[in-house]
Amino acid sequence: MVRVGERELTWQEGMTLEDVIEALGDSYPYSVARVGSRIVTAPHFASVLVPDGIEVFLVPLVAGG
Amino acid sequence: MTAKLRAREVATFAYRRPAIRKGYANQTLHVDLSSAHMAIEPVSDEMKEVFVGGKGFDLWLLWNAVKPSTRWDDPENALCIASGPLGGTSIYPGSGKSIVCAISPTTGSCIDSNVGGFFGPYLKFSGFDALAVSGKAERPTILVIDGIDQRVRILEVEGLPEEAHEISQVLTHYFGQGKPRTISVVSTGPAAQHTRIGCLNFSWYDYKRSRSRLKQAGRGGIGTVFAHKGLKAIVARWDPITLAMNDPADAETLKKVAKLHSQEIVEQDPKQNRMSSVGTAHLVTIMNDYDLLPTQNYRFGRDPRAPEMGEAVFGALFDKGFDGCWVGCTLACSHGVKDFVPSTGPYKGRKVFVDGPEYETIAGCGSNLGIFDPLFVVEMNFYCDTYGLDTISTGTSIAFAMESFELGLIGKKETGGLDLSFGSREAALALLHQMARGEGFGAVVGQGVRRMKEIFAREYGADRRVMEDIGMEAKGLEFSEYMSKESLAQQGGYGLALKGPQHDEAWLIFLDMVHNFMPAFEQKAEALHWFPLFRTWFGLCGLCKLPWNDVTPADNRETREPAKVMQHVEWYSQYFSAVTGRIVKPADLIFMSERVYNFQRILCLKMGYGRREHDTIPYRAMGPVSVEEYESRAERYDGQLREVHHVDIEGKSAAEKVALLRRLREERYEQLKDAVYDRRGWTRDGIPTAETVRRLGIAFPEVLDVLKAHGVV
Repeated sequence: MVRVGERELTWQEGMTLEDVIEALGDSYPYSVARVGSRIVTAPHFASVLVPDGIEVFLVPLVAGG
Repeated sequence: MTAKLRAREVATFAYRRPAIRKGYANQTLHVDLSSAHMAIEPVSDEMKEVFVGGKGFDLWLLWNAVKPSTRWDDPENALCIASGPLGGTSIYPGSGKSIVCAISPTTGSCIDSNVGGFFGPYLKFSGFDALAVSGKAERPTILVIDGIDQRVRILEVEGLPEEAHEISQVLTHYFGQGKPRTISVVSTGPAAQHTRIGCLNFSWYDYKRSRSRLKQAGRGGIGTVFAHKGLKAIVARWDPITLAMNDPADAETLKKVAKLHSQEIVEQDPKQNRMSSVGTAHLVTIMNDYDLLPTQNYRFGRDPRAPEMGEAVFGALFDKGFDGCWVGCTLACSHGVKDFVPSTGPYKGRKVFVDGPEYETIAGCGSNLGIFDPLFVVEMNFYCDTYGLDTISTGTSIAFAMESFELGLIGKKETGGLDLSFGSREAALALLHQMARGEGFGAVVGQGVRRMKEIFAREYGADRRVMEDIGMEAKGLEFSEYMSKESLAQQGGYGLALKGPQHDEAWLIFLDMVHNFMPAFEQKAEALHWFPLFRTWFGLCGLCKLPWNDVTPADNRETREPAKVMQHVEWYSQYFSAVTGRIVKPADLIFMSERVYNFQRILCLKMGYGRREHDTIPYRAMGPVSVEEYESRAERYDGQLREVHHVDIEGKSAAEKVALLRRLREERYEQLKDAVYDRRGWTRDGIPTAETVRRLGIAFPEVLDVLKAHGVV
């Protein structure tokens, strides 16, 4: 199982962060996410594997100080 | 150390501390160090209405202190420090900021720089909405504003250490009388005297770690102004810190909205940017992945070694514990490294505490120098702070010197034997120590990029044209640490910023380049209207911007304008209303800022700047200067020439394509200026029109006189 906010997704072997975002059916242009505490940017969404039982946080915007 | 300190009283000024009323002390403090004269001036209702507080008050005091002929080191240049009506609120995140203004040694015009720490709130609770220090002391001097004893003293001092972290520690205990938390110290360090890029350190006492911690007002050489006034420190003494101190008009609403924002940060920050754990270090790998992290003097935006300086590394280095630079801030992002042992300089081999680094320092003193060593960055951070150097200007200046060295514009003869190739750790640190002593090539680098260009051309025969392209300064201020080549909106954010290229006025790079939220010219112009104005508002009120947009509501992405984080804007309008009793809506916040923003532009004009020509940026900020830069991203640039500009590039050399792209991008930047000036109600020369200043209610006779002198009105 992978948790994303209130959603719980069924984990699959080889599941990537891109797969997680696609499964959400959300068209928002996410650029940054956290897999657990690890920060991942969109160019790497397709190559980052998501472990079973992890929580994914979708960072909605990078705003800058 | 304290026992060595000897202080001789030059003047004492006793006063009766007023009660704070709805966020205001309703008076300002004026100190002339030349005559040792001190005076209090009232704050009128009109001053509050028009200038609000904070930077607005600073600018008004500065306007009245200086003439068009005033230079940064003239006695009449006033160093102005203010909090703001919301500053000092002990329950709302990010409410402890001070803002400093003066005529800058790097730009010759008005600079503003904001900073955390306890000083601003303590100044206000001691009875002053703003402080203006003019004149020059003949001997090393400290100014002590004691709100508890209700007196201001000018003291000549001997035996005070030179370095900022020791000055803060010594004075905190000397004046704290067993209560160190009652003290906040403003100081600089030895390099401020010898360079033009000196910073100010503002302290706050960290009980858990039993030490004074430092935050910096870095930009524009404000520490250099301080040092040249003969100031060693300004000390504020105050106790207690309570919600009632600010006398909010509606305490219940304030508590309600503060709780909402505080709780949201506690819930959302661990899921988003983790500022409370890693500060702004999270940006390093994000910027790198999007080709936005400056490397090798902004030549490139990415390096495979960047993760070696990412949040995971600094998260492990930072000392664990609460790091809020003001009471009640749940974002608490002021992290530091404990027991760091420098490898060079006067503190070599000794354990020190380093406040930082933040993203700008990691990028400026690391990647932009071609160095990806976190411990090196920590050492640069330590010495910059304690020597009183702005890490951004220091990093950008050294990066320019390094590229000049690599291009053969300067050589070892000019650098005093230092090998300034990118990646030279020892040389970079050697420059810092030279700056602190005012010696060698470090003293040249410490003049900043604009003056280095002049010196290199005049004395070393270096090619001025090349240096104009690669020297990353505008208006005389060094760029902060983002690559703007691929974001026209960020080019405007840097080039059209009033004080010079600092991201705190308009940070649009991600919204524009990554999210493509503003594809049309008009949208970019609108963004370059709204964002600088809302960001200005924080500086009027004594607030930090980070709680606004570095953590966002869980449902923010579903709102109509997620980039503005309108839920927070609404909370800020409630916060302002609750403290001041002046009932405002979000649009009113923008109008408040617009007044001060235009007034600041006209102050720049008064000082001989503030026109279209001053909004120019070097081509390195707009696009690839060299064939090497072009070819490193050839697919991107070729694609743009073909698909965006419809240019047939078949058979063209890389050099020809560099020139073509340059012409197109420079034209586009000039078009952006026109669009932004139109949106702001300015002339094509970048000057606010008479109609604009009348609409804003700032058509004072002295303002109209400046406009008339420049052919407007």
